Amino acid sequence: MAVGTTEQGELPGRSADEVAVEAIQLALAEAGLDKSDVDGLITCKSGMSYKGIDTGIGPLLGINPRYSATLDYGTCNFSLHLGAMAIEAGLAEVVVLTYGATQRSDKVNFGVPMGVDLSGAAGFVHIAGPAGLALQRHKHLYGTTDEQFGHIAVAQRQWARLNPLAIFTKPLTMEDYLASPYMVEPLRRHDVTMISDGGAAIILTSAERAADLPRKPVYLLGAAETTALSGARDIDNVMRPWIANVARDVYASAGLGPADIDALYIQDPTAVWVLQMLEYYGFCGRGEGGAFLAEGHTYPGGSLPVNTNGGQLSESYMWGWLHLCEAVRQLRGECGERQVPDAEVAMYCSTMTFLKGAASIISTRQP
Amino acid sequence: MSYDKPLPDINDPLTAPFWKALAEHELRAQRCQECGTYRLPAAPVCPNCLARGCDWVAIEATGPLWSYVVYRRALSPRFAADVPYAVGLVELDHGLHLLSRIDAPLEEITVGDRMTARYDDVAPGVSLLTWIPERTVDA
Repeated sequence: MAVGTTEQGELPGRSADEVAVEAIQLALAEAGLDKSDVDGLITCKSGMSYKGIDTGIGPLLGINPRYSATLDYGTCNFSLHLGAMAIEAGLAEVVVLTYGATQRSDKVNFGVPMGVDLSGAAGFVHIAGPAGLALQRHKHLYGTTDEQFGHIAVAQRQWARLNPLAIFTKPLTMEDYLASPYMVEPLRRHDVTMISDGGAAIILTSAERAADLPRKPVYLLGAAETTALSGARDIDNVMRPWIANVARDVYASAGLGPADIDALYIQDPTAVWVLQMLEYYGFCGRGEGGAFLAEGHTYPGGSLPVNTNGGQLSESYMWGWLHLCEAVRQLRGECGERQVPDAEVAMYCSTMTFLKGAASIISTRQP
Repeated sequence: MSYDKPLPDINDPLTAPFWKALAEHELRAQRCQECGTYRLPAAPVCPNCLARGCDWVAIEATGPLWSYVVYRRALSPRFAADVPYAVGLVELDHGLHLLSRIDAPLEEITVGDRMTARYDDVAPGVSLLTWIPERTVDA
């Protein structure tokens, strides 16, 4: 795996496809490859639009890969798994995964109800709505406090302050956090993703081919996915208990367990996703996420570094793509001040809202 | 003043019976004619047995509050005048649940509270369901 990331923040006057191509260029340079080496292209739709499709990015990149595909919502875990399957199936040998976004400059409004049913008429808009329901329920069932939950945003800001790519780097103390107003109670602004522009690309190839490339290879040790496509009819849908199935399968796939993870990455459109996944991936018991966070494990210097890039709460809004890029860089020991000492195994966990989950375990250890 | 917030399309054939029932101040859901599974929101086939067709049957519009949120910032300008407002998910019989606006003092809303429906006529032929604490009805 090689990675490329563009500047994050505001990229006015540039298209999402153009930003994706820049990220691909950076990733190819890092891998010591030319675009003519690419025989697989997996892109990811940018927002609810037709931007980001393979038939748009391919022409811009000027290549005719043997294999190409577009995912609706890559979170780069789904993209990574599709790329690995394409390589395994012999459909491609060097696959580029990419995502470009200009949702900030495009002023995409996430507060618009999608079709008006009773919830739309009630003003139940934005991902903070369902995520807030899940947190309120968690607080009710387990007594999770605002301060416990606040450690997610506060810790991620500390990590972001060590990351030159991060957008939100103003210091954030627990006092600041608790003093800030609720946005969608029980969530505060700090608990919800920013909206930003940026691009990311990852180059995936076989272990044999990677051995010939200049950078230290990072291998995919385990992968798992699940869906909850009919889950919307379950009342506990926002709690997403099915994530535990992804956890079970990804650990089995890699032959590893929670204790083997040196750095953990959790896609975080809201901090609630971090709370849920710490529990479902077995880093603490069900309902114990609050107490676990309060023990400080996820902070710089803690026993379980989480989202060392700052995540979507503090680094940038890239649907988790930068989480995987960061994981690769950590395993290569390229992260300077925020480097996790001797990081050898990392896990990246993501979801497509309430419908799908995916996880990957990656390592410098050869499978 | 006329109602200026987003309104449902009450003429969508799939959901029209739901809105018609609300306009008659009643909550109705689909029940499969083959296997008896209830469904809300409406779906054109039964996700359990895949049979088409259904009966629209009355559902008791009351149950415990499963969870709720309070919008304290206007994320949509259409609802700016309502801020702060609460929205909650209520557990109904037959494995159903329904999310809608809650009208109650915000500080008093608690998960587990028993809620009941109030029907608000907001436009010609359009009524919305609002959850209110059952105790305010008893009082």
